[in-house]
This record gives sequence, C-alpha cells and structure tokens, in this order.
Amino acid sequence: MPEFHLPPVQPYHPTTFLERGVLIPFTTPLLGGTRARPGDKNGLELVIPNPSGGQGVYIMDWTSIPALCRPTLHDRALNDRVAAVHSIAPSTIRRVAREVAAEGLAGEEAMQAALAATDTDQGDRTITNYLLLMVLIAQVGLFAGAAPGVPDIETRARLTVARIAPRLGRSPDWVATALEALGDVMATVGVAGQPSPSRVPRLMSLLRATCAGLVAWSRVQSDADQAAYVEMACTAADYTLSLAETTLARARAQTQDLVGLLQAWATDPNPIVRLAGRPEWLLDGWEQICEIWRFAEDDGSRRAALMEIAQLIPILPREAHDWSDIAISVDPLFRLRRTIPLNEDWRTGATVLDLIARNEHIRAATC
Amino acid sequence: MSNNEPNRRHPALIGMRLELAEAEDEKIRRIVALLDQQASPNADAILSPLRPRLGALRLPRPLRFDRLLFLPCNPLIVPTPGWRPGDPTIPRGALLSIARIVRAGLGPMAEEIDHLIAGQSTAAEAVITLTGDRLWPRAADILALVPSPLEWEATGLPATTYPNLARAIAAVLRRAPRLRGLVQDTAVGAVIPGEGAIHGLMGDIAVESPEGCGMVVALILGQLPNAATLLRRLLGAGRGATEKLVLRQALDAGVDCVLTDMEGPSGFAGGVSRAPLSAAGSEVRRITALLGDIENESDSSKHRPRLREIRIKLDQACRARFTAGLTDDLVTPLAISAGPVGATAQTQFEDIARDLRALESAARRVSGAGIYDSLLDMAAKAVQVAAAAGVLTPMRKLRLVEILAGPEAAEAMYHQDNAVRRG
Repeated sequence: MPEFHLPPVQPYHPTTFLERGVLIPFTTPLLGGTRARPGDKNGLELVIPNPSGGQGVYIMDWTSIPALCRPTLHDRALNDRVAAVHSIAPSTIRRVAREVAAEGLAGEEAMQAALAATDTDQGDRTITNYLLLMVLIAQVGLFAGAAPGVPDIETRARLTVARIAPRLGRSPDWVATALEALGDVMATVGVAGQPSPSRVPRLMSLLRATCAGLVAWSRVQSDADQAAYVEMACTAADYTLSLAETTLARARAQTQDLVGLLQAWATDPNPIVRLAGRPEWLLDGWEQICEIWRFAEDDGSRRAALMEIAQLIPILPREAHDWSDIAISVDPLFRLRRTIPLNEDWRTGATVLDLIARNEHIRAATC
Repeated sequence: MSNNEPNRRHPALIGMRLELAEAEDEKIRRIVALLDQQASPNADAILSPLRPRLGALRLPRPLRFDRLLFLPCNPLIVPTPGWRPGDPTIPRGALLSIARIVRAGLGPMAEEIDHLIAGQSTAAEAVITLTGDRLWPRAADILALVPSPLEWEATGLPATTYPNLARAIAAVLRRAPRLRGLVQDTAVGAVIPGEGAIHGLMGDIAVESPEGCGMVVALILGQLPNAATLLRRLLGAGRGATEKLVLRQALDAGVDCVLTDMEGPSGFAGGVSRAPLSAAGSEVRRITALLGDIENESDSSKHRPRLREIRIKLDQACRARFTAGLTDDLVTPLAISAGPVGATAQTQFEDIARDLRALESAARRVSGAGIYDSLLDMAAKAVQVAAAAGVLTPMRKLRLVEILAGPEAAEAMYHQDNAVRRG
C-alpha cells in the first residue's frame, strides 16, 4: 500500500474567480466544498476546505486524496471526467457532473434529476434562441407595419436573417448558426422579458429565499455564535446577489442591440461568452449551500447545517470589483470567518454513509 | 397506565394480550395503529405487556398531554412492581397521578398545550420541542411545590413516596429542554458535548434530591457520548465537599442504573435485537461509547465483571441483528425477486445496505470479530448473483457493492463493466 501524506494547510485568498476555482459536486463528506482550478503543468488542483473547521485549505491533486478520505465511486468517476476538461468553468463542470449523475453513480434520484435537467436546459436554450430571434426581427424592422402572424415567424426569421447577413459580411447560414450559439451562451442568464426565469434568476431567487429562511430561523435562536454565522452567510449572499444582479443586467443588455451583438460575435465571441458567464461564476457554490439548508428540517439539523454552511461560503475574489461598480468590502467577510468547531466524527465516523446519502439528494436537487 | 385501566382483568383483554405477546412485529405495528386510530381507551391495557417491544419498534404514537410531559423521562420509567423507593427510576403507576397534578397546576396553559399537540404524533419533533420547552420547566415548578395528592393511593405506591418522586421528576423536567437540545445537536453533529454543556445541565444539581441527581445523571449517561468522562471531570473541578459527594453518589447511582438496565432481560432488545435496522447502528454506537466511558473510570474495576457480561450480551445481540437484517431484508428479497428491481426498491435496498454498514461499523467496536467481513462479502456476492440473473442492472449492482464492500470494489467492477461494454 502506498503511503499518502496530507500537504500543509494553506491560506486561501483568491484574487480571481478562476483562482477561486469551480465547485465540484463531490458526494464524499470530507470533500464537501472542494473546488477545482488550473494547477501547474496543465493539470488541475483541488482546493479542499480544512476538514477540522479551521482556517485555510488543502491544495492537492487527486492522487493525494487517499491521505484524506475514501472517495465514493461517483467522485472517482467525476474526477476522471473533470480532469479531462480543457477549460474550467461552472457551466462545464455542471455538464460533466450531470453526465456522471445520469449514469446513476449518485443514485436513482440524481439519475432522474440529471436526465430531467438536461431537458430543462434544452428548453432554456430553445426559449432564449426564439427570443433572440424575435429581438432581431423587431430590430431589423422588416415587418414593422405587418399584420400579426403574416407572414409567419419562420418566414420573418428567414427574411430577416437574409437581410442582415450581407451587413455582417456573413452568409445567412452563419447568422442562423451564430444565433443558435448565442442562444446557448445566453441560456443561463436569459433575455429580458423571458416568461419563465432561466437558471441564473432561478438561483438568485433560491438564494434570496434561503437567506430569508436563515434570518427568520436565527431570530428565534438565542445562541450568539449562530446569529454570527447567519449574519456572515447572509452578508456574503447579499454582496453576491448585488453583484449577480449587476452582471446579469449587463449580460442581458448585450441582447438589446442584436445586430451589434452579431457583429461583435463575428469579430470575437470570447468577450460575449465571458460577460454572459459572470453571474454563474459569482453564484458558484451557493446552490449547494441553499440545498444544505433546505435539507435541514429541525433545529438540531439546522444548527449543524449552519456550521457546514459557514465553512462553505464562497470567498469573493478581488476580481469581483472589476465586474461591477458596486463598492465591495470583502474584508468584513474574512473577519467574520473563523474557526468553526466541526464535529469530525460527523464527517468521518459511522454516519458518513448517511451523509453521502444526503449529499446524493443534494446532487439530485442541484443537477 | 395502571390506575386508569378498569378493564385490565377483562377475559377478552387478557386473551388479546396473550396473543399479542407472541405476535410478529408487523402485526403489532398494525394493531397499535388501529388502536391509536380508534383512540381506544383500552389501548394501554392491551399493549402494556409489550412495552419493551413497542419501545424497540419506535412506533409513532398519538402525542397526548401525558406522553409529552414524560417524554424526557421515558428511559427512566419502569414497571411499578419492580420499583423501590430511592431508585433513580420512575414507576409507571405514578405517571397518571403526576400528570393530573401538573395539568391542574397549569391552568389554562394545559388547554393551550392540548391545542398545539392535537393530531400530532410522538414523531413530531418540532412540535415536541415547541410545546415541551414551555411545558417541562413549568411542570417542574408545579411538582416542586404541590403537596401529596389525595388520589395517590390509586397508584398502589406508599404515600411517602410522592414527595421524593415528584421532586426527582422536577429535577429532570427542569433540565429537559437543555438536555433535549444537546442530544439533538449531538445526534446531527452540530456540537461535540463538552464540559461547558455538561456544566450547564449539572450546574445547580446539588440542590436536587439524591434520586433526582441520579435520574439526571442516568439520562445524561444514556444519551450523550463520553458523558461519564465529562461528569467525572466536573466532579474534580473546584466544588465543595458536599457537592462533590452528591455528584459522586449521583454518578454511581446513574452508572448502576444504566448497567442494570443493560443487564435486564430486555437489555438490548429495545435498541438492538428488535429495533428497526435504521436505528440499531446508532444505538450500538451510543452503548459502546457509554461502556468505554465507564471502563475508563479510575475505579472501573468494580464494574469489570458486569461490563464483561454486558459486552458479551451486546456482541450476541449485534451479530443476531446484523445477520437477520442482512438475510431477511437484503439477500433473501434479492434471491427471490421475480423480476428486475425498480427504482423505488433499489433505493430501499441501498437504505438497508447503509443501515447494515452503520450497524457493522458500530458492532466491530464490541467484538472486532471477522464475522462481519464474511457476511458483507456474502451479501456483495448475492448482489452480483442477482445482477447476473437480471434482477439488478449493472449500475444498481455497483451501487449496492459500493455500500457493502466499499468504493474500491465498486470501482474495479465499474471499469470492468465499461471495458466489457466497449468490447
């Protein structure tokens, strides 16, 4: 048996979101809150919260994980897939993790949820694509005075694309493909006026509801530490929500001038992709927190959940300043962050199988 | 309750009770549900011989005022005939009279409590916490003040027993909200009980009666891990001689109470032998922590022979429960399954496998016997046989093997299955 040694605990003050890493939805309790980020030599490194509840993190690659815990089969398969990913981003990890869950490695519920979530995402893409097309038709204005439904949407779309393509110096096929690609890119943030909220607004609503639940529960608790943890969680959530609102508005604003957006896409799609991806980067890690809280049904479980949450609150990197005009002071969050007296037996002892089962339920809820 | 059971000697009831004594767990579950559904006044009389089994089955019962009141005292309640004054236990026959005293003392608050618990069951944790936190401290105040009730004779207990019993129950109820919160937090891992927590429960214990002290200590020992060590530390931490003596006696009485309970004929029947598989693992973990704690006492040699016997008995109970659970709930159903297992059944099998592993990991601390390895190996093989017969899909097989035999075994099969699929 090879010997594995834990690396020393290191400070963790990421300055960019990429350095913060993307949350990997592992189901092994000791890997809760683990993030992956590009490491040296083109590989990935894992940032694992200090399992003792103290400050700092372990930064290690997967091969050293046996020094810390025995990962579940789901996590082993997930890590293999994540390691093969070329660029780390929340949307990429979500797709990969969903593929693993869809195999059934995190249980029946997660498998069904993964399959359903794929349909939901497809629906989001279809709606966004349709709405982008409507914006383009309205902006080009070929049918400004036409009677409703005449000609039909398909014809209007075809004629509009045909009209706009020469102005972009591209073929109508290119425009149609670009619109589809834009639909994919914008699907998580959606388009203004979208009837059902897309993924990012859904997450924001979930986070707001969770904070409201935390505050309501905290009001009837007498423990000062718990009140401090709730304050820490909600303060961080409020900052994140403010930033997410701003970045969401900016991402959606791109679609107000669709002709301009297509021109920009023709020149370089990357800035558009990056702008649209910011809300997801900001919210990365919060969905898990919301679900941990939701799964805690009584006071005892909620107190345990709160300690777990306090350990998992995503740190806002300084890059967040560049993404918004909102003046953000990250320091207070660091001051609030302190050693959390986690019961280690809870994550390493005989209850570990129950926690894996709970994490698999959470996996299902976050697919 | 004994003083409210006019029909206890009715021939039909006696017959029914004899029949129930031999009944299967499932039949008992159905009968209890039926009696509770009909709010039968004879329910207690019919079910009284089954109390240890009812406790083991952990059936939710309708949440009545008296059930709520004595919930914190449940581990201390014993049959009236075996109870002796001075024991840190509560004779069942006293419960109804004491509940009546508390109810009368509460005034309008009693009806408020009734209203809040109406239609609820003993599984409604949040409702119990909400109402109990109001009821228990108030009930403690009432019991500490009320003189002997007129109807005490009906309990069949000597009149002189009331004051000490009432005072001792008050000692428990006064600490009930704090102890319940601590037990719940510990169970979910929110806190590790430390000296501060125990001090909070025992801070003013010296003002309580010896029986009350013994009851509080017995409850703490029985419900919180490592409590004996913490209580001993408390004993050594700057207290007066009288207080130390009271605590020492309470600790001795509490330890004796929990050991006697384990030695009794139904010692591990409730928590292990007949308990639902889902509860057996945590119960064995609790018992082994307590035994280990008592063994670590400086004067543990006096308990050693008793502890040895208890461990042997616990080991036997664990092996029997594990073997029965593995065979009846997992291996046999898989072997006789007529067709492929669906999602719901698979989820149930996974829950059973997890419960077995929880029991096994706790039971290893009792004997360290390799029997569990061979039984788990047998179960993993049964899973593979079921998969080969088409009862389980390859993924469902992997999930069960992972729980029973570990992720490494499942990973090896996963890669093997993938290689076969790729041809």
